[in-house]
Amino acid sequence: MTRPLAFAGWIGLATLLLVVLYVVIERPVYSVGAQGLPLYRVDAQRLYLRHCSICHGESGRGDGRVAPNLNPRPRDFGVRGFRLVSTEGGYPSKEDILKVLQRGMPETNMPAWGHLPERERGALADYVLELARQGLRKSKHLVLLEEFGDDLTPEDEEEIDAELDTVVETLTRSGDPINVPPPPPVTDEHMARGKDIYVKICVKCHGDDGTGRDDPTWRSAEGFPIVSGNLRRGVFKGGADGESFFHRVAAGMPGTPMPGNSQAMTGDEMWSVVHYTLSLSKEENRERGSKVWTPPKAERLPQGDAEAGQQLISGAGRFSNGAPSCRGCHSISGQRDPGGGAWGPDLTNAYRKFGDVMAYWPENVDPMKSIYSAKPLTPNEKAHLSAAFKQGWKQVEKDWDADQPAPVLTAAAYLPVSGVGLLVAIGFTIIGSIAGMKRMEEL
Amino acid sequence: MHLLLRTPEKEISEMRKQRLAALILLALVACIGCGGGSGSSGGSSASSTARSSAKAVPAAESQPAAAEVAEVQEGWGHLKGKFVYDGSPPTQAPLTITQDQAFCSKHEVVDESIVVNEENGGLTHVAVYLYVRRGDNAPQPHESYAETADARIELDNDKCRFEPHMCLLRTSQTLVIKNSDTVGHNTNIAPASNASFNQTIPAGSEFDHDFTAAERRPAPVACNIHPWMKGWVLPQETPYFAVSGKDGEFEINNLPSGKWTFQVWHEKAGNIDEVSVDGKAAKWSKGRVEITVNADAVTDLGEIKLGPSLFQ
Repeated sequence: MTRPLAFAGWIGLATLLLVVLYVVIERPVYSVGAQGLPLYRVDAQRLYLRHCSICHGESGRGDGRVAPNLNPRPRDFGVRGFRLVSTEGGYPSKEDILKVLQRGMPETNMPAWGHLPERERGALADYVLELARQGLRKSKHLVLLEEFGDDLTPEDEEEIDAELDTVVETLTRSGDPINVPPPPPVTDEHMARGKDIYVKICVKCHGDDGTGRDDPTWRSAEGFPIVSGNLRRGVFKGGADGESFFHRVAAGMPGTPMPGNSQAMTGDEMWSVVHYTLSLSKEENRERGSKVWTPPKAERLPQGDAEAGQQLISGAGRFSNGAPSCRGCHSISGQRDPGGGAWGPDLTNAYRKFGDVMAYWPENVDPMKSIYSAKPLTPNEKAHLSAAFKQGWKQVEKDWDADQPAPVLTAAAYLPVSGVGLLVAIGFTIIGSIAGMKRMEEL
Repeated sequence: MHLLLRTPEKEISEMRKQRLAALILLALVACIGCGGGSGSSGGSSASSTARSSAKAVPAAESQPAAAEVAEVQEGWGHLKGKFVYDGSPPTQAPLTITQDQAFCSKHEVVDESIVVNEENGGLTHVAVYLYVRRGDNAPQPHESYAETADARIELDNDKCRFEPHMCLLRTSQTLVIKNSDTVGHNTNIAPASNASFNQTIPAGSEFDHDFTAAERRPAPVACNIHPWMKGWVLPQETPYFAVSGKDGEFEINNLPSGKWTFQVWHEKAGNIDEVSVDGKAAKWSKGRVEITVNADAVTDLGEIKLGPSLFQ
């Protein structure tokens, strides 16, 4: 009787070893645990490949499929030069990356990702920072290989590794956050000082009137031509709020010719520059420029008919209020009728990014807003469109999945499998221990 | 029970095994408990620490040079030489002043990427610096260098150019970036092993900048407001470096005697790898040359001639 029970102890041990192996091998590499959120396995790589790689490339080197068509070019994370930083070290903190993900970068092709769940954004930020480290390491490695020559001894390799560790650590250090003093009251004197500094310093690149200029020698860290910002339009990549603007003035924009000013000016002086510079643009333009449309909490749409949606998209069916069909301006592959207009962005993957809120775009997002607010879609039409886009998306999703290596267990199974495994292991152990004690007693 | 037919010793050892298994199991459970709390980052950082600390211990056999140094470091010697451009001296073209013409055009601003003395062919701005492998021990600097260990080395924005054009300093020293002009500048330094740096510097002001690590090659210094302004800065761990002067001459004093490797670099040529020393052609692979420094003597490399093809 006790023998099989005792055997349970060994089964427990074996199970536990398996659980340990699983927990270690399948551990959430890019967890958001650091943010104080519960440890949750988010497959950051999968998220990145799905959302970001089309522009930034699979390894983040700014070489995605559409990259050559974009201006400004998407960031090459392997080149030190994240533009929007709030740190003394000139390297972004995770919060800096999260901020860009949250609001996007106006005037560039970087969209806002605020609609993704917080933990997914957290995982993406971690992943991007990791890609940056790997990219830096790779490019520095090439330089060092050149330096050491072809016949590498083990000592050479050791030296190269050690140097890479140090260099990557140095180059990715963000340092302390920049101290932003409370903004002083905006008096005439304060603005006059701002103007004085602007005329002495900022004017050299941004011009007398703030419209910016071009210099043939200006290049980004990635090596692409770059112009100085037009301060009159009120559209600022890093945000038009005082604090964001202060960060740009203090830290500059790494990877571009824009220098920081924290060595040359006091906090008050920088605030006067911020206020004067902001005064060059109209408030309404700033508001519009920094507005990131957040989708309304989608009301439950009625059950849509994908077939009817297809017809509305292609123009075979008409919108009841007379609005133009989607294909007049957009292309959508993965739908039954390929091809379409080139005025608007290709909507092939739009549903997978934005989901049902897409149906609210026509009335809320420029430039569609001007057309569709007068000719609104009915809830039924919205539902049909959603259904059709979803169907198209599912096809694309299937194709995408077919290209990916199948995971042994899905990410979502990580916690349940580990937990159940652990319980089983502990159960067997207890049985085994009881058996052992019984045997003691018997003796 | 048939189990009771066994000998008691065997029984007891069997039980011990079971106990042991249970203990191991509990210990592992505890381990997972701890590991889970700190998340995955804890695991990876622990492993990286282990990795770096393993590397921090240099392998004993990788230090032949250090052993050699210990053997011969009995005295101090000096090194000198002269870089000569072996061809007709190129002219220094005047640069186009695109910004702040009122101020910058007052001064003659010329291309400084290659500066050759017309009288004696001496090549300026060649950097010569000690090349030390990480595994090797860097030499203890001679006491004459102690005084300047934390000196302030100026890099001036002077008449819309950088002065000096090639600025070498020790990592223990402080770079003072200065603007003697009456126009504003910005100083943009893009090193390979230090964080890059780009700050505005208003007329008549200065500020300090520290480098944390030595660079393998000089790092470019630029002013984006006045794009013709170009300079170089090279932070080094050791004080054993020099830049060739107006006549192409350089000297490095008070080197510990022994065999040392020097890196030789010029902004237009990059690594100086093909030279002719006192009429004999020599190949300096990757711009590095091994030189034996004798105690209480001046090792004179004589005239080092550099062909124009190096600079194309």
